[in-house]
Amino acid sequence: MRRQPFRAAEGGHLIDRTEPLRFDFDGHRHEGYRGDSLASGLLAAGVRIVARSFKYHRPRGVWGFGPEEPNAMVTTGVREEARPNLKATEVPLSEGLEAFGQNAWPSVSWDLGGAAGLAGGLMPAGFYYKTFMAPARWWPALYEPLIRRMAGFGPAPSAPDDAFYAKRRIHADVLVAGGGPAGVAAALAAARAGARVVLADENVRFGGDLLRAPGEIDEGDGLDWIDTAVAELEAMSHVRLLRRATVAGYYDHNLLTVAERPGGEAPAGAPAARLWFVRARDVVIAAGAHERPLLFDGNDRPGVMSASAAGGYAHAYGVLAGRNAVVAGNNDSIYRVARLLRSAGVGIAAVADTRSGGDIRDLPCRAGGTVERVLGSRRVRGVLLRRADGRAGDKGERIACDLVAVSGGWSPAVHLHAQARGSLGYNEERGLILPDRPGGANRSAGAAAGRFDLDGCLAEGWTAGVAAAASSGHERPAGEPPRSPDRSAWEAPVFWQTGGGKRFVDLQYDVTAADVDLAAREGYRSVEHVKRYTALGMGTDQGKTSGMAGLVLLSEALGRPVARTGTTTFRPPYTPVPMAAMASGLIGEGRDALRRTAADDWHEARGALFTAAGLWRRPRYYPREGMDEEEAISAEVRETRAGVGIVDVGTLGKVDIQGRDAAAFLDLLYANRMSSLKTGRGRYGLMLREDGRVFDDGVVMRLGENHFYLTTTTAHQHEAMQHIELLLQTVWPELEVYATDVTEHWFAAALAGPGSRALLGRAAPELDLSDDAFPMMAVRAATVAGLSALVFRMSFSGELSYEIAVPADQGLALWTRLLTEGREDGLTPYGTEAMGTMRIEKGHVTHAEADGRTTPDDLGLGRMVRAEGPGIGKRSLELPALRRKGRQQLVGLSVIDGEARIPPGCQVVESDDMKPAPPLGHVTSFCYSPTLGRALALALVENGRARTGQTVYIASPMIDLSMAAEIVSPVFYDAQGTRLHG
Amino acid sequence: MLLIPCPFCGARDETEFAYGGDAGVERPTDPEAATDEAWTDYLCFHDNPKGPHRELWFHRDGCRRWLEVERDTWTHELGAVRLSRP
Amino acid sequence: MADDATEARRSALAGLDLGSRAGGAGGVLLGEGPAQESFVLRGPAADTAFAQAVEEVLGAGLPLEPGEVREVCEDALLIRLGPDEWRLMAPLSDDGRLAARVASGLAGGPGALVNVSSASTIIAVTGEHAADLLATGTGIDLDPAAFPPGRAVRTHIGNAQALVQRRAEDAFDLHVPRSYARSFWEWLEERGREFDAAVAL
Ligand SMILES: [Zn+2]
Repeated sequence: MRRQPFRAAEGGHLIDRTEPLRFDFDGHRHEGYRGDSLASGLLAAGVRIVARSFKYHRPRGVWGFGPEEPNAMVTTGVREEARPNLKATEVPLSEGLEAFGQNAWPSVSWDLGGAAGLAGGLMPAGFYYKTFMAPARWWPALYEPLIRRMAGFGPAPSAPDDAFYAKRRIHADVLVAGGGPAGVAAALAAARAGARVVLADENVRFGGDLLRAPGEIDEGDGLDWIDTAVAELEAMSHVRLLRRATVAGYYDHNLLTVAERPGGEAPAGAPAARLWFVRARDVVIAAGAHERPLLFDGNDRPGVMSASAAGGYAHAYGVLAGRNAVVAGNNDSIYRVARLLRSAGVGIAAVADTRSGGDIRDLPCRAGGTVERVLGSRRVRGVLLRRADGRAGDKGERIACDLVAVSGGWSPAVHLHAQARGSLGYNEERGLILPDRPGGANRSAGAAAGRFDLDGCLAEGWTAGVAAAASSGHERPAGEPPRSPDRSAWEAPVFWQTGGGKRFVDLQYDVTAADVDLAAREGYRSVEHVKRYTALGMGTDQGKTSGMAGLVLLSEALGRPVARTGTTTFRPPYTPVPMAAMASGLIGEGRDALRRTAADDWHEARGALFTAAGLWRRPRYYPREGMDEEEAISAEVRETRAGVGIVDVGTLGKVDIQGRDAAAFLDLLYANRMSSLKTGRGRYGLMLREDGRVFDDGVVMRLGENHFYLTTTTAHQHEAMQHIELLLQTVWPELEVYATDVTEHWFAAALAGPGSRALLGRAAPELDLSDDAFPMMAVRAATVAGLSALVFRMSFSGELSYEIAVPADQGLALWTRLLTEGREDGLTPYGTEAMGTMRIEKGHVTHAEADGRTTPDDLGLGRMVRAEGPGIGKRSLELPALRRKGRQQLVGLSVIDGEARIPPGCQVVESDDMKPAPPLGHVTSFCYSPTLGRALALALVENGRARTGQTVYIASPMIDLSMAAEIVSPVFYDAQGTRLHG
Repeated sequence: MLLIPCPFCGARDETEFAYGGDAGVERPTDPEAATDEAWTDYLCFHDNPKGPHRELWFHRDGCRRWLEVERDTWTHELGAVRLSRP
Repeated sequence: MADDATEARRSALAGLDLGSRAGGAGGVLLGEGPAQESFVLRGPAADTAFAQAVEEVLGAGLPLEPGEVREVCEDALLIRLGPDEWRLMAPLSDDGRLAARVASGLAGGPGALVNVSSASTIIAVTGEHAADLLATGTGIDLDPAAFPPGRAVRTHIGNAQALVQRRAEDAFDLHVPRSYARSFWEWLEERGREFDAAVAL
């Protein structure tokens, strides 16, 4: 047997006959040529059954030519390499390609599930909803797996996809979607006018419909004209041509996505797919049109094919979709197809035109005739033709054939127009849904706008290109639009259907005309509901071929005009886009920034375990030989409280504030007064939100009369800056204040513990560290370990403590020099866990307590709030809701069983009977205190301060836990603060 | 994704900005003198129109200015955009 | 005295040991630029006293076009980043002269000068596909007509905010926040696979 029995001896402008390619389909070896699609390769090899249908597992062949393909669903590759749910029409043939037909086991030609198809009306519309109703608990275990096995698409790959996917964001004056005659004419006009143009087409070659059938442009071959125009465009530096690239989505403000699948001919190293984001000033939608099917019994049999596709396979690939064809349709395009097939070597058994008249002498015409039924069960063996007007006494005519090429007219691809929220209009006379008012700067041209003649497409494309270029200020280009003698209109009656039987509307989801009827009878009126009830148009082809048929059938069943029924919503993407392309740049290395402090390399070398703090990573603790986590953390705490510890606080937000009104502004920004600060001194400050809740806290240092330095929490660095700028720019624009985020410029480390004074004294010998010369909350510029630094005396741990800040590029030097200097002091680096333990022991709050719901008073910080003045949030503190009794207040919980450990997420309740009861509050923070030798917690408890001394219960009903605790002051350790002085 | 024409930087993607809510809310000039009702009106009771809306956007990754943007919340069409403090 | 600041300085990318990986040719080259002295200059553009003070100390007037980069005294550049914000950048020096001069010039009038020399890491992206690489992660228009060489813009690229200084059609300096520098570099290398990115010598 010949290797490519259905390949014509010559012809096929997309293939290179000098380069044969071998490929496997369902385990059988075949041969095709470079340039073939998998679909053309399979047809050339004589493979007619390519997949099984979704619901009934009926055998299916190739129906279309491109992304409209509803039938020929394949998976390429196996296991980890598997790429499911591809359309054979869109897969370029490559050497060694392995592909499998879908929805069938063990193979498409011998499928066990096909039995479902034998039982005719077994699965009517809404089958799933009706059958798998109750009991609900059967869903996860039984119904869903069953449905998935019966009806699922291809298998998902079993391993991560390690192919490279790319993304690119570009700008254009004019994006042209579609590279057929209209699109190329538009691109040419816009580019000649000087506009930056992006022209994208789904095929490997520009030409659109001219790929499927020859045409004449400017007194020459149409495709030659396209090639010449494309060469001219390619030579222009302001034009970008994208092949095998589908404009898939149209989003706000003219942002469009283009899915490029370099595939087949792509150079080595090209990404598996690339997603382009094009921000276009104007868009020309020249997306063409999709051929509609005819509805007749068995219109899904392998061998029934879109007429233009059948002609296209002959013209573009030199492939015969059959040996003997019946061409049937309701418009003039069928004659073009019949001649194309005939000249390629396909016998034409009959040409049935549903319209009367129009008898063409050189073809075996059946004017006024149509297909009623396909003969043959697994593939087409013939058709039964009948008169389309249903005249009585017509017995019909049986004609043997192996190919039925059908055309039910054309549906303009209005998807992008509609995605851009353009309105659609139904043209009753022409039976077309057409773009009406555009939503955004775009214009439809050519077949996408309902122009089906080549001359009209060229003219409309050119005009659209000129207009689109004009919206970015480019003047009309010189020259005339290209012309063609082809003015055939291909007008078709709305739609044609015959008889009964299994007439498929949606081939991919196996929705028949009867299903649509049934849905209407069951009371569905909205086209959106019918879509979901029957699954019509919900497949990967998104109803490109079926949409119009479904709409007309529903309107007929409901007895109302099509215009009133309306269409379903067109949502992006127009054609499936690989998830991997969307995820490109959003997964793997570098997905999120990881912020590192200047001492990060040291922490890592020391083996620190890290914790995430926003985007930062911070050492959680430094593991120690022979100690578990709690022991290592406790050692860090003990050694700091007994000697001296050092912690990296480089992550705190830092803001430089300058200007004549700096002090006045800080009085408005903070709830407490800052203008009374003396130069060289600092103060703990509370920032409120306007609603009176605590927003952030930190320290404000006065460096000069009009110069301050303030810290924010690590979490609120950006929010605090945004808040400050909002106040300066919108609330008090008259203030002369400049706020600069200097978080990145400074690194800071805190020395804490009674030994910190001695250590710092050696590192900064010029600095007088006596309490008088350098009191609590003072700031000094000094040289520390040989580096120019700012030194703040403040404390989060409750110990004598100094924070030392240096420019971040010297941060690691500061850190390592202090550690070297501190060796004799037993300097202990500690992490966030030890820091947290020490602050809980001291009752200092963090975001766990200042959780966005608490006021200063709730946190026991009410006295910090200055009474007078219009500062942010202060007026809200007067509102009854924030003053009422019964608010939750910060308290300490001393756990009676000191050895207990408190899990996260505990409630505070009044009794230990574990009966449902409203909680008094919840635990916000907890630790095992090595200093006090027992478990501690901070909690927000209703009327908490008044309950001091009461016994409450820490409860976690989920794990059946309840432990008694006494409500105490949140300051567990050194309430007098004597340790702050060393 | 919106394209916001920043009066200083030019047109930039929405992702460079942070949304800041209703631009039409006036803070009482003397909060202490405001009644509880007036103050809670300012805090909590804002219009949420379907249609034209004046709102604040912070150009975080650009000029770091707060902008007043007229945006139709239904169509996303933008009207006038100006610096909150010119 | 901060006598050994030079010795103490360390790049945020030091941990990547770029020197040992440098070499090879690709469609795009990535490298670390030399550290610079850098200041945020704030002040009202329309205030003549402020503008004059700046012109006196820097020897050139304020650049007023958004993104305009102007050469001022002693190889320093002044870039306009916002209505009242400029960036002053100069080759690294530890004498603090430039800052002192500007600060004293501004004293008494409106305006502010803030040292941010340590805040950024400079990554140079050069080569035929330099703009293409940036276009994988930023929405700004990189066409030379919209963003000509000699200009600078602040925007977001990949996983970080960046001040992008275009030196030539195919040469960009990206000033990224220091704490982000390393993961930004990793992002650049990952996206750079598409263009055979190599580390510049
Ligand atoms: Zn801006």
